[in-house]
Amino acid sequence: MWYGSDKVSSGFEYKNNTEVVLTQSRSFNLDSQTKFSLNPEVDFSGYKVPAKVGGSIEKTSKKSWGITNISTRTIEKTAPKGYYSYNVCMNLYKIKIEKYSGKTKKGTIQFFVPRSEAFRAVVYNKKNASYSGVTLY
Amino acid sequence: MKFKKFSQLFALLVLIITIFTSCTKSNTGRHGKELDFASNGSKVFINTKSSNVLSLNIALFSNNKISDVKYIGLEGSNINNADFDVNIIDNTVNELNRFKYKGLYTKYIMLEITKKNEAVQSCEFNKLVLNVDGERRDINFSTPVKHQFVEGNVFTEALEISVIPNEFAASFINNKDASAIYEFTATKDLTIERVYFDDFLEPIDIFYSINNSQPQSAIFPINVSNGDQINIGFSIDSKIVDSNSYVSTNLIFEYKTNNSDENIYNSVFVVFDPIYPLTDNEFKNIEQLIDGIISNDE
Repeated sequence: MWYGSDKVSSGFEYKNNTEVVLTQSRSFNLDSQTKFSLNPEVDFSGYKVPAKVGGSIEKTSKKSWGITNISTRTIEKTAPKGYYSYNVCMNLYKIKIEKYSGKTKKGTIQFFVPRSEAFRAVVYNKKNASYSGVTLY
Repeated sequence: MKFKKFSQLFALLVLIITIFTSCTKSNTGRHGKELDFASNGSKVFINTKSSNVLSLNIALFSNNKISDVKYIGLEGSNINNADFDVNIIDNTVNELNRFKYKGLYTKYIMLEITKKNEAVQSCEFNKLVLNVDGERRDINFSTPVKHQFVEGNVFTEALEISVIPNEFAASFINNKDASAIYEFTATKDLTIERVYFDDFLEPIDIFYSINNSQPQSAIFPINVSNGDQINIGFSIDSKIVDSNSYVSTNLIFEYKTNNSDENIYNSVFVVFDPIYPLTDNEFKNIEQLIDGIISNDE
């Protein structure tokens, strides 16, 4: 899963004892995040990686949404106090490739590629407006 | 002579190709009549709970670009129009405004229904009446839209939420490669008793991991200790709806704390949308939806 960037979230909002309707992001580009973690010299064609890569990502993606259903991003007043945000997320494959020459390890690369269509999610942090308490996997 | 025969054959071939191409681009339904207006009403499935508002997207397809949509009324067994305020929002992004398939443009509208009267607890309707560019249009829902004005997103203290996906592309339905993963932190010792949707959908191949250990198949109840982080994932199965459907219902995570027999739950309002998100300028999902509607030719 992938989330937690200013490109896909309009940030955390603090909820006290009242209802909060979270604000939303409406579109984002996938290319910059994914390209960032790719090694441009690796040809992935033999690894069945489900993305068009080989040197770099050949196909970049822009995701666009309309307005979100208000009920999905309403945090009821009974919910715990803390910091809430509404984010675009995506399930990812975490790919790790180690390159060997004989028995000598020459290097490792690790990157993520999309595994599902994007979705939106509520993210909560009790203590502060950051993604540190949630897992990137 | 040979040239004449060849010319005739060529002309015949061109004619056949032209007829074939025009047929595949037309929106002639099974009754042989070309559609000038349609909606996805037959593919809308709503059974939801949310305290303040019922909102849903509806796709309108028309052979003219739709510029103005006004609300006239709702019809059904449990609806009194005087009890509700209904707001129509144009929810069509620019990319969709330019899209045309088989002679039909797509207009995506969002309906927001709020109650005027505090005593109203629910609503049920199977028809939405609109004024679309000056013409009355009836949007019929094959499955009645049902809503209760209670709860919605219910997040509790003991099974504290962390990441809660709740708005998906409809392509997640019946797609074993597209799992939804929910992340919680336990603030008490507890057991998760079950995970289920209120209607239409079923979580299958449920797996979980505690503190980022190797994921394992879920057998309920699942014991979770105070302080543990638990991820629960599953694929979404249905025999009622599919990837062309607009679906909205509630997802429930039911649990008990170890010092109580009371069933507690986190409830999440979820939406599965056949139109959004749009990726680049690919509209295959919408083309598929329009093909289905044309072949049903309401």
